[in-house]
Amino acid sequence: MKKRIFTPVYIIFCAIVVFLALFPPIINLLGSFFTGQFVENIFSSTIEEALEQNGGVAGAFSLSQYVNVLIASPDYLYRFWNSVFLVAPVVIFQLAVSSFTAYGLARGKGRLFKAILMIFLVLMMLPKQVTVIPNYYAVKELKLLNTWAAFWLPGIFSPFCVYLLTRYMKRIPVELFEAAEIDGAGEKRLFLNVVLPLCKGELIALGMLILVDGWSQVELPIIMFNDANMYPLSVYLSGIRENAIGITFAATVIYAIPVILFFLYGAKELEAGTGSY
Amino acid sequence: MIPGLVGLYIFFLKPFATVVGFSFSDNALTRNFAGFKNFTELFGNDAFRHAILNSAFLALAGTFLLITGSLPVAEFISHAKRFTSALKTIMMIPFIMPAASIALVFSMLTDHSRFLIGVFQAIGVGDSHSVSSQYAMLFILFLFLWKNMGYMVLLFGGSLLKADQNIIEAAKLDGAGVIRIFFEIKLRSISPSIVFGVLLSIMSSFGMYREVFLIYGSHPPTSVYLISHYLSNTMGMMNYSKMSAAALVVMLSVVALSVILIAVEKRYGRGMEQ
Repeated sequence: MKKRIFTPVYIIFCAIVVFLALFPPIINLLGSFFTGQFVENIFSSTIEEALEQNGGVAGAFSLSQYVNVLIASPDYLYRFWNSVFLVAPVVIFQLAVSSFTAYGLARGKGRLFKAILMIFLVLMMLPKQVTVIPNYYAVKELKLLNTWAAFWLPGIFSPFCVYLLTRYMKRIPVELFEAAEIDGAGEKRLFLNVVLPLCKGELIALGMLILVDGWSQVELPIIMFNDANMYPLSVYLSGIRENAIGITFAATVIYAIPVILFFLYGAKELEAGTGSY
Repeated sequence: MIPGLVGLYIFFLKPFATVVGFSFSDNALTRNFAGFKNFTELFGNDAFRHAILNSAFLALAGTFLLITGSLPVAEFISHAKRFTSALKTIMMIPFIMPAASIALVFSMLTDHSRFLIGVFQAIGVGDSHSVSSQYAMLFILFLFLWKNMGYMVLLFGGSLLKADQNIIEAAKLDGAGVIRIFFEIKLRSISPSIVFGVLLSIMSSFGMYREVFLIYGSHPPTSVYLISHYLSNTMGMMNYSKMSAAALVVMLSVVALSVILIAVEKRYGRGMEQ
């Protein structure tokens, strides 16, 4: 009886969710296959008018934006690799550093550890513009401004995953540690052979969160780099929209691909990891 | 854990002392002690007041709507048997999409869309561009919910599953309905996750600066002028002491907010640290 009402409501619900979640990305994807003129027309008038003005679907369809982005103009591709070069080390080393730190915090007892964890939580929550200021002073003092390290170091030591990972590690039953200690395992073996394997899924999930955040990062590069050639794609894309709608559509599609691929690879882990806090 | 703490100290804690120092000095070069002059000037400044009120509104209203919206959705999905995994994956897509892609589509929709202009004209309010700046905050609020709903549903969905099944079975035998079980048993048992969700949601509300920046540029309509805009604009003007004072105000508010939240949770829930 109840099931009979539930199922149709659920199906309608699914349809709404799918539509809402996928509508903008699909518009983005579709827009990238048509000329910029057509895309602009379609947003400002009806579809029929836009088709008429641009010579039908065949006239409006074009891969030239992709040719532009990938081959003709090296700017986009160059910035794309900047992004990869900036974000990849941050993902890997932030995971490594924060897993050490989180292990220490999760194992430590007493007020001091709680206080440190609290500091991580507050730093994690602050707006980027606030944390970027101390980052800037530190990097300036180390004379690393305008080097890649100016992006890497604050990124790697970012407090973001430490709090989340500590929370996760604290869920590991104490008995497990005790059993391993009785078997003669030291802290190093405990960390490598017990804790890390248990956290593998969570590390993949966190890696994805760091990637998503780092990929859209605009605050750090703008303040750390004077040289626009060092800017990642995220900064570059925010500046070119005005006159190049078609190209921007194609560039944003290419820009989203690495994140989406990684998401498809780790969706299960993300779901499991997020559901366990 | 030593390298992590050293990094934390070098890149966050130590320079924060510099920030505190700057905030009490008249300018960053001479560094004469200026007392609370920067702070009184700050609160007399219209741009700063707008910025902090808007950010607070987005953080509080956004979090309230996000949490109250995603809890029933998570509960609803937890009763379904088919497609739940696929559905959750699809719901996460707005969360992982880069800000630039989403901002592009949304700004095209609000700037040019015939459909939206039609809707606005039908209600009797101007063209979509002026409307979009008038209602910019509502629009950003919507974008915030759209982006973060999936993540929150995952978060709450996972913890709802872990609610004590014995108590729920017992309550069912006593004749409690789905809705009563949800409010009186499940909500209580997941209170640590709710507090955690609130913290994450406040954090991501500050992150909405990126979307606002990508859609409206560095000088957006007043209603979405956020604290992050204020900070980066004062930084652009090289006014370091004012910027540091503003950063300190933001930091203290965030500290106060998290301490209150965790205290509330400790009092009524199972405790965050466990």
